[in-house]
This record gives sequence, structure tokens and C-alpha cells, in this order.
Amino acid sequence: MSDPRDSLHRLVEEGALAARQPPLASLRRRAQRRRRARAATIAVVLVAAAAAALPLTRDDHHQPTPTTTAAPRTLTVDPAKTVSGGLITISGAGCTPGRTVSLGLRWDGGAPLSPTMAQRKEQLNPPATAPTAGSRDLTTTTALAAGTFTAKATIPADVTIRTPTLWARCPAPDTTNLLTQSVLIQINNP
Amino acid sequence: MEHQHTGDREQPDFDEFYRSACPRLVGQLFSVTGSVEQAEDVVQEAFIRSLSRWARIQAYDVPELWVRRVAINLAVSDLRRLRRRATALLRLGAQRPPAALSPETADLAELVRRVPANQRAVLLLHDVLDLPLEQVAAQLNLRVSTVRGRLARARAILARHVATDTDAEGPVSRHV
Repeated sequence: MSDPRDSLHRLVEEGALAARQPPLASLRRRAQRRRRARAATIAVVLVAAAAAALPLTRDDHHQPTPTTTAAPRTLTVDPAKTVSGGLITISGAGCTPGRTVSLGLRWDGGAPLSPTMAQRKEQLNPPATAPTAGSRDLTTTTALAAGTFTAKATIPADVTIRTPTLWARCPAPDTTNLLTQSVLIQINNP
Repeated sequence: MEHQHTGDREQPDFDEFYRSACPRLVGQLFSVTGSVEQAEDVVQEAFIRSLSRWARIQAYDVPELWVRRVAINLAVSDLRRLRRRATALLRLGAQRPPAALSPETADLAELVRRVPANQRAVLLLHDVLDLPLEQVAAQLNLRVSTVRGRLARARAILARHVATDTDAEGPVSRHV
């Protein structure tokens, strides 16, 4: 066989000669079908969203028995802006009382960094973004009787992600599933 | 809505564009897919997408670049290719006869399929279409160093298989 580059040229030429070209009308029909399908999907999604948003009304006088309302799922961090090595207080709700709540941080690859003063002194051009995704366990605590929890945690000194996600995971009431809540915090190192 | 801008005024342009560019693009994508049928599928898919965006694409200096880039992306993506192939089989009822190729080209297509798909795209743009590395990198959203690496690896694979196949065909002089 000759030079691979020449062979590739021949391959392309012969491929062009062998190409079978469907009529443009066929392409148009397919494009039209696709547009209709897309429009139908959008319509279904809009109807579903509207149905979910609108309150349901009942014509009969039957009063439904009160259903058990799940505890509100909230996760707050105080202060929301901190520094590497800073102390934060994490509060939340919606967990099964008496069960362990795990707390941690995670971030994506490419997340912006907030290098510390020491890092800036050590490296002339510290990296601006995290090379890989990562996570760090912070602490655990136990959910109180109402399903709420509060824990103090220290941001690890070597975590310099500018906006990591703080997550809390615990068993949810009335289900075997784990409930994971998350909130963004800001780490602004001076 | 974007596709509604594609009025009758633009259609003759698209007709001409489709007629002239389709076979050429199928030939080029043949070097990426290693199969004329798959090349036809990805090129048709790219043309369908361009049809709904034609009002915008026709304003480009070279609309063909857009279609080729979409077709290359489709060809490189295995998942999409499998889904598209299944759709094409359903549409055509698996009745499409194989493309008529010379034995040499069929052999070469077999060799091309041994090169990873993302490296074949670099081969097409640089070795077949003679684009400089910088343009290849820009069209594929890659760094120039990545393009250079893929090109070297693709050429090596191709050269190795060409040499192996030549050896298997019979005694030939070796340039050591």
C-alpha cells in the first residue's frame, strides 16, 4: 500500500463518489418531524409544569385527613463567607431524629480557587482553578427530635476552593432513602 | 423560534448548498467513520440540523464548515452514533445496499477503523484537507499540542498497520 496520506485522499475521493444523497424533500420531512416532536415535548412539559403549579380543587365536601408534612429541608451556614481554616456553624432540618448527619464539602474540576497568602508567596502564579473535582468530609452530628441539626466545623486549611458546595446527608423520615441537601459557601482568602 | 426564520427565500440556496456539499462531506467523513453508510448518516444528520438553523448558518463565510464540524462531532461520539444507526436502520428497514467501493479502499477503510475516532478527525482536517494545526485545533476545540499528539499517534497506527498488511501480502523490501 502507498503513502497513507495519499491513500486517505483516495479514500475521501472514492467515498464522495460512492455517497448516496437522499432527496432534499426527505431531509425536510425529517427536520419537520423533529420540529413537531420538539414542540410536542415542550407542550407536554409546559402542561405538566402548569399542573404541578396550580392548586388542585375538589368539588366534594370531603375533608381529607391531614397528611404528615415532612419537616422543611433547609441548610444554612453561618457565616456564609469564610476563609480556609475558618469556623462555620451549619444548621439544617428534615432528617430522621436520632440519626447521623454527615457534613462535607465538594467541588468540580475547574472550580475557581482562592489561594491563601502563603500559597501566593510560595508560587508566583498559583493555579486559578482546581485541576480535578474533589470532596472533603467535615464532621458528623446527630439529628435532634424535630429532625433538625446543628454542627460546628472547620474549613480545612488546604481547601481553597472559592465557592465549594457544602452538603449534608442523613436518612430521610418515612423512607429508606438518604436525603442530601447542599448550599454554596464562599471562601475568600485575604 | 429559530427554525421559523427558514423561509422560502433561503430554500434555493440551501438546495444548492446541499447538492454540492453533501457528496464531498460524505467522502470526508468516510475517513472519520471508516464506513460510507455511517458517513452518510452523520452528514445527513448534520444537514438536518443546519436546515433548521439555515437563516443563521447561511450568513457564515463557509457554511460547509459548520456542517462538517457537526458531522465530525456526531461521528466521534459513539453514543450518538449508535442511537443514530438504530434510527437509520428503522427508517431504512436495513434495506440499504452497501456502498460500492474498490477493494483497496475497502481495505483502507478497515485500517482507518483501527485508529481511534477522535484521532481520525485530526487526520481528516490536517492530512486530507491540509489545514494547519492551529485551524484544526480551533475547529475541534482542542489545544494545538493535543492535535499534534493525536496526529502523531494516528499516523503511527496507520503506518504500522499499513506495514503489517504489506508484510502479510508477501515478501517486500524493507527500508531499515
